[in-house]
Amino acid sequence: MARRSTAEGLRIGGAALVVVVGGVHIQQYLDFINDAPNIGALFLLNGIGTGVLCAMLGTRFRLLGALGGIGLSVGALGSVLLAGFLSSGLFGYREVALRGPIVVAVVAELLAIGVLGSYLLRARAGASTG
Amino acid sequence: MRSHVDRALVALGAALVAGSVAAVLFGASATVSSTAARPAATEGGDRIAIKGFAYRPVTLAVKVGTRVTWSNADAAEHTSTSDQSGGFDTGTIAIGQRKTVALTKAGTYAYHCAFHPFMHATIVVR
Repeated sequence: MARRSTAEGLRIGGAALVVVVGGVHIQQYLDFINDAPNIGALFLLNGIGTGVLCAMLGTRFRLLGALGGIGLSVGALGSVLLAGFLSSGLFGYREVALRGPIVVAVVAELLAIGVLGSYLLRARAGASTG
Repeated sequence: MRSHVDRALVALGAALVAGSVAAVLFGASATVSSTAARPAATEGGDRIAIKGFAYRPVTLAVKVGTRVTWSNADAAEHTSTSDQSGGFDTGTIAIGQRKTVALTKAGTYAYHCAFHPFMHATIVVR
């Protein structure tokens, strides 16, 4: 019972973190990044993707949603690293300053990876013990 | 049997997707209005605005010795860097800040943003 409620907490927490990630990307898209070629479209896709994954976490495809949430967070983290440290940037876009929304998104992405990863591990352990 | 939590997650996800679609529609209308308000491609004066990952005006004509000022009205940092090596370079123009460069030689100077190379513009010094 306790294991199940913990898994539920991880699932809901993971979904909330995925929503935060998507919310920041949509806010940044609306604020200014929609004018940047390619990067703007990626931010928009992130927003749509997080919405789909959050919804999946509330259905019988929840494990797939958790896996997708981890993948999306890893991809977003990798992208911000490339934009920050690659001299050519990502699609010609360089992130020079550590702006507030970036910090919020990076923290949410790191937490989402941890929380959704824990959820998957618990779900797997629960399945193997019956 | 789906729980209230499951239904809430589905609704939240649907709201985020709907919000993203609305962002596309809102962004499209904002682009149209900003295009309409955009000044002519070539202008006089000595000021260049940086907004929406673009220099405005795209081409500026000035007299020799003019001090040209770039104002960064974007939410990202930019530079105004001459395409030719040894040309002018404002260095980083922080968000909300401005930088000024004196242009003392006649010529046509193409320049770009070192952080976002897809941003291009030209200054003609006569």
